[in-house]
Amino acid sequence: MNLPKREHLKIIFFITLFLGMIAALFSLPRLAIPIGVAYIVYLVFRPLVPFLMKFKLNRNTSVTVVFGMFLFLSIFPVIKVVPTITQEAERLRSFLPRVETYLKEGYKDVKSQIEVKFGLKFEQEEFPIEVLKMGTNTSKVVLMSIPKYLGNLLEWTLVIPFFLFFMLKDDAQFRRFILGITPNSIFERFYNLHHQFNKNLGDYIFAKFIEASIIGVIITSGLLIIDLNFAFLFGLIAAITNIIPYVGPLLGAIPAIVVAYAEFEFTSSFWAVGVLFFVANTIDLAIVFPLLVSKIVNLHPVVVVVSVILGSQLFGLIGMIVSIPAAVAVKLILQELISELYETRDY
Amino acid sequence: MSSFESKGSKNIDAEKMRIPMLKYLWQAGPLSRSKYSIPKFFRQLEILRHFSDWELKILSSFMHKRSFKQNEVIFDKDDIGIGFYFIYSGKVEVIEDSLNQSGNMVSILDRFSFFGEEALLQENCLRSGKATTLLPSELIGIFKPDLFELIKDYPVIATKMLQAVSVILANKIQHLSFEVRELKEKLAQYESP
Repeated sequence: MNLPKREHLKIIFFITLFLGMIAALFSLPRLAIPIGVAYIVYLVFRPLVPFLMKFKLNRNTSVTVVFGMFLFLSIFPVIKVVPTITQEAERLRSFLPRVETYLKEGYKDVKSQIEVKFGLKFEQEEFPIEVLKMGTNTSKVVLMSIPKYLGNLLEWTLVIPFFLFFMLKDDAQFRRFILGITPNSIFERFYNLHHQFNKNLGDYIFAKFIEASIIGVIITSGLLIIDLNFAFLFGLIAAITNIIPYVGPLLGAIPAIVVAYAEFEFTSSFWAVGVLFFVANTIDLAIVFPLLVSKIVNLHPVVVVVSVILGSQLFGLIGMIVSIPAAVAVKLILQELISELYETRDY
Repeated sequence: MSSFESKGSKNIDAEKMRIPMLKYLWQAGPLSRSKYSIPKFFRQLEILRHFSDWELKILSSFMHKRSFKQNEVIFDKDDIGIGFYFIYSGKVEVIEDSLNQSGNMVSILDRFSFFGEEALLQENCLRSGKATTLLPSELIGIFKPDLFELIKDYPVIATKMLQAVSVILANKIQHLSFEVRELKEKLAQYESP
């Protein structure tokens, strides 16, 4: 397609503006995280605005009602749950030396049994102890940072609603502005991509939310039945880590299994915790994931794993969480570019 | 891609005069502040005659007004299309390849005409022709994402919109079947001794 020079300039300006906005968000994580979370919440709550407008409410009133609903649904549990989780994290921190002692003793027992039965001797005496120390220290750092994250959470409870309100109120104006400056030659393609990405992202968030809730509820109730300490904390960890594909369920199981060993040693309760995580993740992998998530995302497993690794390499934990939506966006853009560059035209 | 229905829109002023005064005042009032607003433009289109004024106002809020310069390509043949356009002002040329390679089918469309309606209904619609502006033009487009939103938010209006598009396509099919019948008759005449 032969485009006039002005149209070329418009396209360059538009793409630069778009990439600049993405780069600005990535370079300012303190701003990007609340905006990102507000956008996710916006995608979840947005359909309620036109729904309320059907009951003869005007747009501003509908937005205010939806916003009030969000405030009630989010702030109430945060106020209720934050002290409980903080308390559990503090308790777990004081519980860690006990876990360390148990693991050391367990290691010594296994070592002496191997020496007696097979006559093998471990030359590197200190290596496993060092690994254990490192693990304990890392856990301490993570646990100590939980109250800090929860502090951030309280900060976000103020900032996220602010962004959310204006997203709900001014979304149409903002979208019209962006579409208004979209060059004519790429308008239909851009609008189509924007729609597909939003739809995929909205569906993915909804599916992941359901998936994480199912896992969280199963793990918490299972751990309460087994009577393991910190059931709520481990349920929450399992639910959050479940957002990370493939690696997440494993990461979520480790702390609970370590604490279960310290508390129950190799008794039936310890195995029950292992079986609980196995069953919960099997239900997730066999039923929830195929039914909900994979159909929506439709990415090859290799692409999923590679994007998770890349995400963690570039942006850490947040990178792992946003890797799948980012991979979906890249896939859509690549599909569009490939169809544009390689399609055959017969003039 | 031409507007079969827009021919009727020329008589719209005469029809307006026949409606009761109260309805006329009601129609003139809530629609718009501007004399040249999109709902007023739609009111003059025959294919949207089943829409009430309020429905046209809602429909307009889902539309996008796009400005094109003279000789600007709106879409090319084989482009993936998602938009259905009404010509608000200006003139558009639509060129479609003819089947017998003897030449292209050219349609010149102006105000109140429309084109690209297939894109709203087809999955992965590829444009069958090339649309270019002959004059600086303003087009009002509704695109698939807008239609999906309209279906969710205002199902009745979306149904009326889809009904209007179906009428356009049904008219096209009828027109084509008449042409096929005529061609068959001509072919039979040539083949008969």
